[in-house]
Amino acid sequence: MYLDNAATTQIPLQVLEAMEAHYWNYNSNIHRGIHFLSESSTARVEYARNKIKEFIGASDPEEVIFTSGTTQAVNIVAGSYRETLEAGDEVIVTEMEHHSNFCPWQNACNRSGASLKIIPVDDNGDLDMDVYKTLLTERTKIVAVTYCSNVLGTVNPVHEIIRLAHDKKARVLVDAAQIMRHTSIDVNYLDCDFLCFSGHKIMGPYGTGVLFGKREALEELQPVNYGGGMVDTVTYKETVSGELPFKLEAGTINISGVTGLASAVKYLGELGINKISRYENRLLAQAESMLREINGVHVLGTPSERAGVLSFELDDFHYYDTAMMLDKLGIAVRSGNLCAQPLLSRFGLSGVVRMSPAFYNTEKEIESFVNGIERIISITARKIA
Amino acid sequence: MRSIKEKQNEIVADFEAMEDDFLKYSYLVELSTILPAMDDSLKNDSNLVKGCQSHVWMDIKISDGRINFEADSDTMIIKGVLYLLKEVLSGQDVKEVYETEIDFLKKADIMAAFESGRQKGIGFIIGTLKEKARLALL
Repeated sequence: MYLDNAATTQIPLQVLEAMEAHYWNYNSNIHRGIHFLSESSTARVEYARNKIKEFIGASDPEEVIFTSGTTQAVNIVAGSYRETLEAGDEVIVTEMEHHSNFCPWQNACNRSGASLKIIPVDDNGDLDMDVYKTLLTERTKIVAVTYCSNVLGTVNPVHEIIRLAHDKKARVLVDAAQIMRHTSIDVNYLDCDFLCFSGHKIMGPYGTGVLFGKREALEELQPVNYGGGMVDTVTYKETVSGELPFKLEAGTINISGVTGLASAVKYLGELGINKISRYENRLLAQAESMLREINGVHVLGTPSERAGVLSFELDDFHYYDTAMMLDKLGIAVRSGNLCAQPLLSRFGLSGVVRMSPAFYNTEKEIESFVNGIERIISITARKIA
Repeated sequence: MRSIKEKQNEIVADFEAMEDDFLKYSYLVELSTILPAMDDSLKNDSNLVKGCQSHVWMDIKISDGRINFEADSDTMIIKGVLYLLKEVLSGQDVKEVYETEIDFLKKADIMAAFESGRQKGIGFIIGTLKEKARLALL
């Protein structure tokens, strides 16, 4: 029973077939060859770019940059800001960021002399929006915030966060890695400057991801990676970058992966994100209410809105032990610090157990998972003769 | 007193009688509940076993050429492992401790199901006991 979907999702047949079809029929590098295969491969990548554009409501396919995942997407933006931030400038992140959207900004601030400000999380697991308002100043250059916590499942009020940041003329990057199956994304409505997500958390392949950026925000970025495919002219003295989106896609992108990602997005679109979201929320609510009934189980947080994940601890049981015992019952969950050490420290924890259902899980599986937890807890009640 | 080898064989036989991995780990958790408590003052840096992912403390004493130790961990499964190590090694001759391969976890098929970090950690625990025995032999 697979309940580790926040880490990665299983791949539907359609996605596997799309990637296989690429290697069987179209395998060739893109944009650089005047031959049939290269033209076909290029067309498939640009089709994928359009599919992603439609999926997130972007206005222009050139605002869609293919990356290896969310981590690379954040690093492309933070790497550019690292070069332009000045001492006295400010960057705001939240206490609930995944390390992917924390460490790159910490590094950018440490290297540039800018200050890293952190929006705290309250005891329920919600962001303290009052503190956020006080952190925003005229020196805030960018706010980098997760749409949905990978530990608490908190769905943050990103629309409001973006509006407030824009009042101070700060840009906003949204880490959408954990939200993509849980809400329809419309970047125009959100008005975010950047938004990124990974393919492998939305039924796509590993090594694929997207950095969306408003054209003017992307044009401000200096490339972090230089090389083939991203240049206009190269002389002994200098390299002049090419146009968007290619200036931020140095080297050969994951061509087969991107075709798989397009297929995944099509698949999700056909199922319907809202339908998926309603179903997954029901499974999560079922798990939460059943776990809260059990003595010795402590669910982390009671955020105003939760999606995707449920983290918990068991009395007496180390998170490794719990995850290992569940594994021996055939139940896959994640345990550890979940790449969110600042958040876990805030709750005085070094690790938790996290379950994250997807639409292919069932209510019966949630019951089996909860039975597994009950079995584990009952072990300590037994006496050894 | 039975030898280290005999004690290890008994444990392996116990585990072999168990039907599946869940029962084996359940048993380790049960054993953890009867591991004698270690005084908090002994849970200090010098007794902390280096290299373990979870916290493991061992206070090892050698007296009259025999090894004895108190131990604790923040994870129940490792506490269960420590209980078994105490069963096998407490009161044994240091020469025998040093020279005998401590392989009951491997033979009982417990080790294979641990992830690599935990396998290494258990290796460090056994290594620490053997090193104390070796130093006592000098």
